[in-house]
Amino acid sequence: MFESLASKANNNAHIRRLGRGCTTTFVLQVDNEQFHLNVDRGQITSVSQGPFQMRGSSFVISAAKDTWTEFMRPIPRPGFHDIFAMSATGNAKIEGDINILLGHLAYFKAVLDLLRKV
Amino acid sequence: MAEIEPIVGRYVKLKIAGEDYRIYFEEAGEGTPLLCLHTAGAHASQFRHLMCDPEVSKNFRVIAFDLPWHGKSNPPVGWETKEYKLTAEFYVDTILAFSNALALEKPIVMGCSMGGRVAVRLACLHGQKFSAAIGLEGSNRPSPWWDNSWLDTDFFARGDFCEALVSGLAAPTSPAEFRNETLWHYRQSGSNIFKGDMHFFRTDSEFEADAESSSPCPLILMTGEYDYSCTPEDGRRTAAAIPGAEAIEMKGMGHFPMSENPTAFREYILPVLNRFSK
Repeated sequence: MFESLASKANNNAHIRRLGRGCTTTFVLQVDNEQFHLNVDRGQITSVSQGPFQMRGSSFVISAAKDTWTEFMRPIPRPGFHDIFAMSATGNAKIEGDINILLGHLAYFKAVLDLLRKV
Repeated sequence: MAEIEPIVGRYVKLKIAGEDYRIYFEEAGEGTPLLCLHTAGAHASQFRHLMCDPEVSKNFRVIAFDLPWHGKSNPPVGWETKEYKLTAEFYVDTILAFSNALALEKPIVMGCSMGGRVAVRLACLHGQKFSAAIGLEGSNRPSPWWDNSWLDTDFFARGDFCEALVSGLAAPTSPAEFRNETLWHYRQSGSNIFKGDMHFFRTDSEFEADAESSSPCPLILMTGEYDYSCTPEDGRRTAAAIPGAEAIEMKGMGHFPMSENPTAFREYILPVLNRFSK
């Protein structure tokens, strides 16, 4: 579901610039399936699909597959159009070190917006 | 000849809570005064489309001011050692002081987000001073979608954070140009000013109307379906608690109707405003 995210984000100079101070591993979870994304100074260096045995990460955004599918539509329905909207409506959970997410919020939001672009 | 917009900007000197302020305001049009209140961490430019709409300006004098510490309005002398924290009392005092200073006769007050929240308070406590109160994305109490502990971080000092924090509140159906201009205002905000506004919005804005009191002026709460900060349900719940108040849901709209999608917004706001034109 997120395999193409690395090349799309890494080939976007604006997004690389937003993330230039960001080095971390974060997780996008679909139902019970985890995808670990490694970021090194704004470059996504790997996207790995679980299962994992206690692999660490800074934060996890988890939602049902139907929620992610709605999020990825060109015009999602209200409550599915933004990770914070999904959280506010109970459609997603955002857990872990929230400060990593907030510290590079524009970067992470821009990366996730790429899921929406054809 | 280049296009020059009809908006005129000036400054007015106000004394609020014993301190002197130099307040910037913009206006356009003639007729019933329509006093507009911007969102947290933003400024009066959010209402530029309304001011440039001939259908509005032919019947209404549209006026919007930058709150102290915002836009081109100054903070008080000595700001450099003060922490900005907006309170309900100061917010109401500022709006009434501005309206008095310009000798506005029973204006319609229309505010968005925290301006919508204060519009509820103005309608119930000072409704006799207004022809009507319109709360855009406004309710009578916070519906938190992020944790108040975030306010203890330093992130609010950064414009790019404030922009990203609110970016999802603009609807995906709004034109990119105007959605991004709305977010630009959040980048422009002074360091930690959005956070200071959150003091009002998050902890000092709850207003429960007395069960026996109704708003002395019409109160209309207009809420966008993509807004998860003040949902259409928040608007309906607030309207149900205040006798005579009315809730209107705006389809395809987010948290910043007048600035994120001016074309769609005018279809909703013109019929409401025209109820009150003289």
